Amino acid sequence: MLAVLLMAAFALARLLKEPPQGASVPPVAATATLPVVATTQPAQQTPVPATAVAPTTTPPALPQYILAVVAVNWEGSRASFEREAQAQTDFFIEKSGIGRYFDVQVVYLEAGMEGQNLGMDTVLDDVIQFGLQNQPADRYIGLTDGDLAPDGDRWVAGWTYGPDTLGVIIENGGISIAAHELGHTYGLCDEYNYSFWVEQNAAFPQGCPNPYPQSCPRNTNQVGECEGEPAQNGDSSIMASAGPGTGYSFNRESLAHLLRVFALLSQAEGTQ
Amino acid sequence: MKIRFALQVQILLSVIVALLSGYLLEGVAVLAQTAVEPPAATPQPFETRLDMLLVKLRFFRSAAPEVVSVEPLAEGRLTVTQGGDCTILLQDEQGRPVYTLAVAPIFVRTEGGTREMVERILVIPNDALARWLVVSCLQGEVKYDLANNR
Repeated sequence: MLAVLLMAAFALARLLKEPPQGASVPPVAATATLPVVATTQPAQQTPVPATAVAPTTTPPALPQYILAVVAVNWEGSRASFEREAQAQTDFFIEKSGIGRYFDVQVVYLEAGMEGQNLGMDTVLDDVIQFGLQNQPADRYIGLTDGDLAPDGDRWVAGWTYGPDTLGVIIENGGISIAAHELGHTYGLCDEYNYSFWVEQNAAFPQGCPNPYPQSCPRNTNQVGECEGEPAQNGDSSIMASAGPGTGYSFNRESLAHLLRVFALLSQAEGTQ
Repeated sequence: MKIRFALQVQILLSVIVALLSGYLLEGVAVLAQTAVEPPAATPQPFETRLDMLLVKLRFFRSAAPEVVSVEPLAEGRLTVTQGGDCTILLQDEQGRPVYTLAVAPIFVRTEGGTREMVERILVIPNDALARWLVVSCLQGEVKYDLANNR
């Protein structure tokens, strides 16, 4: 009788006890993939005010985000390189609001890249690889005072591959070029050309979070055809054609998207 | 009466002993299981970490991806993505996942221009338990033996 009681009680004990963590659940692999940012359908999109996603309290310590600038075929002085790099990165940091979520550090690599073919796709991959091998960072900005000409397009002043690309390549001279290209790496699309916008809307996993401006023509493939949707302060849109002036800002939809992405990134596993 | 009382005590004691035994044996079983499970790598995005891997991949619109190169990186920062159709997976010797990353190859260049093939460079942990790097996309899969890089 005692033996029967022991067996029954043992079974009862197992039932009463909560399943131990990890004992019946298969091990989960670590990951650095973030939860998906809400999929946007520009045609039905309700713009989210930028202020709606701003943090209500300042976190005690922000995760560090490193922007590294690499000189590519830079023929000017070191001082001119650093001036241009600082102007471009300061502009991006100020206009994007990334500083609300990250402690942003900017590094200018001592060593530069020489003899690069600025017309080849490989120049961007080479910038990223060179950067990774020389300076740990979250985004790399290849900066040249030469003339980029991907696919022979000499009007192009900078380019990248879009969301999650670790780097961009830009020419000097237009203060908003780095901000424009970095905007692509967080998912923003070109607003100055309908064909490009459509292409990116189809290729980017979450489509284009910044709609193509209603006022812009939809039957042209000419570059610089449209100035994009102006920012709330009246500035030209950074995701439109980048020009030499300083009157550029991310417009409402672009800024709201950037802040959503930065908020998600800053809460990625392992960050504070 | 005296005998009945003794039996009640006996039953009560048996139940208590059995409950305690159950908890103890369950604990031993958990400890044994934990000991053989590989500890999962803890990703720390936005921190510079020692001992990473720099992985260069090639993605095609209509073919399986390729691993171009895998090289150790003395220090680096984890690549963080917003997801995608392709999966970068580190597996241990037995094929169990130790690290995973979803990526989206983008077959367009910004400022216009489509591509049939794009390269992508990523930084992932150089996990001591990882034996295989598996890159899976809708177009196909490639499995790379990391033993060549150790």
